[in-house]
Amino acid sequence: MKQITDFIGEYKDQEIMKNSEVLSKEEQERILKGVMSRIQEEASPVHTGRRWPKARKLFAMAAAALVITGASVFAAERFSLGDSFARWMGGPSQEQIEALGISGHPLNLSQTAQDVTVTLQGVVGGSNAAYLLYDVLLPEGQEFPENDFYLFENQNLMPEKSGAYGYHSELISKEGNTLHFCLNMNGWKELTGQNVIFSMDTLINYDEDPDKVSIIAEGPWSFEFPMNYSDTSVLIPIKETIRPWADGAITIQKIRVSPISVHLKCSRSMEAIANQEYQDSRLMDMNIRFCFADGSYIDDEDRLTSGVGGEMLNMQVNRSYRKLIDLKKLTEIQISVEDNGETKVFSIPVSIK
Amino acid sequence: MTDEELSKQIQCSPEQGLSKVIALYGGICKAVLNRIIGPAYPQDIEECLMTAYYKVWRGIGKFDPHRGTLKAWIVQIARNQALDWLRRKGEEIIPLEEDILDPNLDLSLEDETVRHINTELVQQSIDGMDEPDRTIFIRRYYYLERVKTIADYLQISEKAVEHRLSRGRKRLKIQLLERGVILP
Repeated sequence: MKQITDFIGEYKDQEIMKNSEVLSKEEQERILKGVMSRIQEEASPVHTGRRWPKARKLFAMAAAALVITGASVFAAERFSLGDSFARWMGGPSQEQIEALGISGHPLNLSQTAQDVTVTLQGVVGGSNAAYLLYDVLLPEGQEFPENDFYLFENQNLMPEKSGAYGYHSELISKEGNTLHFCLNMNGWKELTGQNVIFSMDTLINYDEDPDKVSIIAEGPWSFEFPMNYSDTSVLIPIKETIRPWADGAITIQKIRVSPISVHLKCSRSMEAIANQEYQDSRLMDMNIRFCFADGSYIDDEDRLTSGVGGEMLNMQVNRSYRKLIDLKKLTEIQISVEDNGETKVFSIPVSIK
Repeated sequence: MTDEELSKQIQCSPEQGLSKVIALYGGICKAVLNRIIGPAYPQDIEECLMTAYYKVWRGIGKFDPHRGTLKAWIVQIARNQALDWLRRKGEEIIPLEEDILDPNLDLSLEDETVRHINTELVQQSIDGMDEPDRTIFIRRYYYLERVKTIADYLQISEKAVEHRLSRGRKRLKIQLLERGVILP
């Protein structure tokens, strides 16, 4: 037992030990019954049958297995995504990384200020989400301090016409004199083909004390470029009304899935508009899971960013992930919500060729 | 009923003994599982509770009331089920490089007494941390919360959380050595 998680497993903190919940009588009886059943099995090992998993309330969407032709990605200039990105995305297969790279738009734009060079490597993405990979370099022979606490104090990304949008920048690796960053953006409107202005200044590093920072370079750096990557997303032509909550229904108009993101376009009733904030927060809590042929899945535990927006009757949900979604092996999309202690799962079978 | 009496009852009359401990400690176990696994998986949480109490029954002979309370022992078993659940789901709970104080500081010892001493030292060191470092440490290493969740709760940046965790690990290592942690 040498890991911190093991040692702290025995931690006896008063706060942790407070009994903050009480099991209901029914829960207690169910648990006792389950435990005694296992004890009796151990005592007399005659296995009468496989234990079935407890069924959740499952709703199969009306559409049967949809066979969708995948987006044709033409081999333009290849954009090499690099090992750092592959590691950051959980080590996807070489085939997946190369396919994404082929669809990307290499930029190779550099600017230098106070001897610090920012280089935009390229951009990849789907209809409403994209990843911009960029590096920060010190002159040859110099190295960044050992820790991993770097950020630009002022960083702005402005697409020319995306409606509401959001972005999040993350340091994905550091090597010697180079920092590798990935910026994720999500937009209400499609991002492909848009011109974007990306600017930043004041690169800082935290040292021992988070309240004390050191400025590495003040910049500024500013770029303008077109988002000319190939849209890797696939449209799932579904139009279905679901009732995730007892007091509310939404109609899913379409779903677009790319290797890095999902985009849901929905509509809601007039009554729901008055309660927009509440609806938005419930959509944020909705879990989306991508299920694959080998039994594995990607869901909101792997989520990088999430955005929800509403405008009159229309709503959108945009999510980007830290793992690559293999569209060819995708067999099902599940949308699940918790409503009054019950888990409702809406299942959409998918087959992409 | 004392912990000794309860543990004897679990051994001799499992149904009665387990019924009592489920009523007494099932709530806190569920609360810990909820924090780690998340409220989106109520059926998995119930399965984990069943497995935890089954393991309580199987391991009740090893419970030593001189080492700690029955409550703490049962909660620890329940927490371990949550870790197993995360592992089965393919989650890297906490990256190994973040979960080890020092590759050269091997605290894994077979002797129960020595392991207990080292655990107490860790306990004292964490108790001695200032806030919010202590809260961040517990949330990260006990409840296995993501850095982002902790940052949102404390309304500080993720980088600040990571930095305090890093600082906390360094201080924990220094204090363990100062207080006389027993090494192989």
